[in-house]
Amino acid sequence: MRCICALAMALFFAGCSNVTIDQMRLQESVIDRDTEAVVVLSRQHTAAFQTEASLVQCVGNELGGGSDSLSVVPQQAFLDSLYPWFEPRTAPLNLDRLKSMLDDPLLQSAMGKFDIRYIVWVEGSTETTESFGGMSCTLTPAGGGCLGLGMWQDEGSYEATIWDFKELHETGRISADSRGTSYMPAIIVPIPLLAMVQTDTCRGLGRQIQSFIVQG
Amino acid sequence: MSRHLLFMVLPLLALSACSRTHVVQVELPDPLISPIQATAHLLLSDEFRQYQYVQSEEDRPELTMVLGQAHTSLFERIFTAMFSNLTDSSQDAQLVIVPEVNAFQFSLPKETGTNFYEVWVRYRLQVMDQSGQPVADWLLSGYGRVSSERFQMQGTAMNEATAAALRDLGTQLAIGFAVQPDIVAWMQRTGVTQ
Repeated sequence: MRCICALAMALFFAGCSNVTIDQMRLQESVIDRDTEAVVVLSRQHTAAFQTEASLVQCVGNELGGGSDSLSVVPQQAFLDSLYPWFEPRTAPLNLDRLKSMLDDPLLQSAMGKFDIRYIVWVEGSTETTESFGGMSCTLTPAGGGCLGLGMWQDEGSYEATIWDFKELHETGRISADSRGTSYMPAIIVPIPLLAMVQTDTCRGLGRQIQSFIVQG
Repeated sequence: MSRHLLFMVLPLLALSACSRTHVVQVELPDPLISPIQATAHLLLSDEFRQYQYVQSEEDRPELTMVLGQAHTSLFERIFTAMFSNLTDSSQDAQLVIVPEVNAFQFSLPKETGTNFYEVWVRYRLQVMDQSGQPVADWLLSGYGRVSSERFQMQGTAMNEATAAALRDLGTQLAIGFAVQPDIVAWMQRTGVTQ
């Protein structure tokens, strides 16, 4: 009976995560959605964290979807076309650096091909902050199985900085903080009940950025 | 019968999942740089082309990273863009460039207590002029890391971290070679431009 209750509770809470979004607008945003594009890039310059490529791709997908969809340049295509100028050790950390990089006609021409209006820099990460419970597994010639319950809590913290590439100014910042608990009960077979912290953060952040850019 | 088959297949699957030899693959794009207007030759030894790093310390996991093909392709791509003419022979070359691996290091999340697989590569680049006189001797490093993710294979993470380290090395080569003081001095001496 206890086991069933624990499983029911785990199922009830599985997938639960909450996301808090904050926005700061510095300039009005304007985009011609027929001719101009957006690129979402991850910041990789600090030792403290590594922004996940999967999150950046997910945010890009969100920007490219829905009724207010934007034209989004894939991060890898952008980085490869401009290699080695947007790599972790060479990417511009501020607009002054970007302006000086654009003095190089090679770089200016390569960037011009994408018709970029906004560069969205995403930095942050999702980390497991707590884990508890336990599980033991056995494998014998007669068969095998696991028993136990593992739980862990993930927390994500991200900030997106939006640069207007045409006007060369910062348009605004949007931050997203999220938290969720995942469970893995095991009765013979482990069943992961994952809180989609990163996915939920991506959706929240992506929709907010899209609305920020489109609605001005 | 089916149970016997299962117990034969399971260890094989487990072994393949834990394979300790990883062939590094890196897809490096052509770098966006202005070429040096000179003829150069990239001299890659057989040892360099077939290089593999073997980790055999007792208290660390056994690991072999096969880097030869990946870094050969990297150096060829970077130097093809770096010079207006990269020749197959050293006879007509104004510069001969000889790279060698100086070090390969890695760390695992459980060793550092962080969330990262990290790889450092260090190369030595010797540059000679037409008469075989040394022009430059440059040590440069590349660093790559990937976040450890739940249910991720260690080999996949190490491959990705090594590929990132090689891409970083390529970045430094592409941007840093032509501004090395010894290379700048040689260009001024010989009237070569970029």
